[in-house]
Amino acid sequence: MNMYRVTELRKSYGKKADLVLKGLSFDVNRGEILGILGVNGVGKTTLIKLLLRALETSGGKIEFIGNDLSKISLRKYYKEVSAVLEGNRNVYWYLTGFQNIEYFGRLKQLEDSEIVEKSEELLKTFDLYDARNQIAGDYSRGMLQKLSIIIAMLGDPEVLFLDEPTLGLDIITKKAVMQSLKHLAKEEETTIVITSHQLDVIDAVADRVLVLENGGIAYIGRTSEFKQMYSENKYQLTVNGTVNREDIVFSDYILEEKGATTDITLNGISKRDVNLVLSHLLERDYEIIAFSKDSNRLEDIMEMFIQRGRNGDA
Amino acid sequence: MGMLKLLRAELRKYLLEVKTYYPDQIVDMVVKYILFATFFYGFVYHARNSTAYCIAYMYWIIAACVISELSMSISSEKQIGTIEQLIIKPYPLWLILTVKTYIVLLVTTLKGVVLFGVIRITLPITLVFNINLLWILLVSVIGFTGIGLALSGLTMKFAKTASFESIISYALLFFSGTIIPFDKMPVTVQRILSVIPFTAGIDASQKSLAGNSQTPYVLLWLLLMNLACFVIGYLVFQVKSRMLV
Repeated sequence: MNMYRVTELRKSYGKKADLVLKGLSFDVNRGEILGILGVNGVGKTTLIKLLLRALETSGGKIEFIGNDLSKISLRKYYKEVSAVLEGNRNVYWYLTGFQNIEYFGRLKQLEDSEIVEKSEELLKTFDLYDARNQIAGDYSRGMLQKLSIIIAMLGDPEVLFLDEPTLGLDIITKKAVMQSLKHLAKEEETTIVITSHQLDVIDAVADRVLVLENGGIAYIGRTSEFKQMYSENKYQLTVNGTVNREDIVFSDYILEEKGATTDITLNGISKRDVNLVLSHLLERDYEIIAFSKDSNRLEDIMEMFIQRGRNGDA
Repeated sequence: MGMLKLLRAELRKYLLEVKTYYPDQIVDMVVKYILFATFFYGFVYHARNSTAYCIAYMYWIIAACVISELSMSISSEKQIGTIEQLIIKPYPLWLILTVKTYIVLLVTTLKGVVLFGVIRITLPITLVFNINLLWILLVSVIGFTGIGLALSGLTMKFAKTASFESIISYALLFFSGTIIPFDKMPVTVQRILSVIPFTAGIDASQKSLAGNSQTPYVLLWLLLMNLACFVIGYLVFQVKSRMLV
């Protein structure tokens, strides 16, 4: 079932300004996690704000459960959707963690008992329970981020929009957030729209990805397919000692000397050429101490994506 | 029930803010006392009756409180990054801001009571109270809310608008008759002021305190002016706040 159906969505900031979004069309299904990807300034946050109705569209149509979003009562809509925008800047710094939860929960029209019960569960899940009575101003960036996520999850929203939700989080908390998101989508059928520059987060949680480029959709489809298509050609190897440039039998590489070792990044290389580079180095008695396929950096993948001129693939 | 939740949420948040930043509250009261005493001795002590002066000053404090809270709070919510969180709540943004402002006004009024107590003890002034004042003041607050909402809406679109709020507040100080009594102002200014809800409210309050009974026509006119001010402000807010967040 479609939660959202977006048709020819356009947005510009001002009548004479260029379009930021140029006629996007896509669906978001109930209970799915959709990752929105794209370089800075491509319009990811704008798209989220449009779906949230925090911005007016410049054209096109957004349907929410089959109804024109622009005609739905905001009172009703905002009971069903929630969001974390701009990371840790979503809370009042002079209030404690719990006071922030209480305030935003009341604005969400939740009962006090519901706020206490749900917040206790979430505070424990995100390891923030012991700091609940500490003022948010004393929180670290990661703690603020966790608090924002807890506030967004209050009241079990039907749709959750998350703009860079894991920015500044430690690995354990990041995993807790990712697990919670997957749980929400699978068990509670919550629809989640998420943006992140951390591809590992998108990879771990998103069922599908939507890649924005030049105001349009460059790709929309299963996350696994997207990764397979665009992350296979970059490799990283670390060699003991220094490496002569003429010993690297490939043209597109970056060489970085790091004291006793040297890092070599091979860009856009085929599997056959990787084997050649490795063999050549081993034949010259270089000691390769690490070798990996680099597929975690969104920026690299996006760069490759643009370079390959695959704009029309979507 | 929904409204009650909003009131409780805003009241608790503001009281916690007051508790956190209590030195600001003390400074605010001291500044208001100094301003009052300065104008009282500097301009009006020998020239006019103190009750009229007090009414004008009280109106200015209330108007400045409502207008500045509405316009500045949107600016500060934008700065701290909570504005989107307020927008995506079941309560309309204008209502959240207005309730927040009225709670600030309530606390300001309580501070005002303390301030006037101190004034009564320390300055040679006699203060009288008339229940009609309360009604006129409440009606005037509707108009102030309209001005505040208009500025707030403009601030949503043009972030710098809030910077001009203090100009409006101090212009109101002049138009309140606190510094110069209305009858000493140029005739043209007096004519303009007669159709401004703010000064009309002060005029009606001063006449009421002087024992002149207000005709229903005057009170109805005051109510209509303030309602019109509110509706215009509300519409400006709705149009401007929808354009760009």
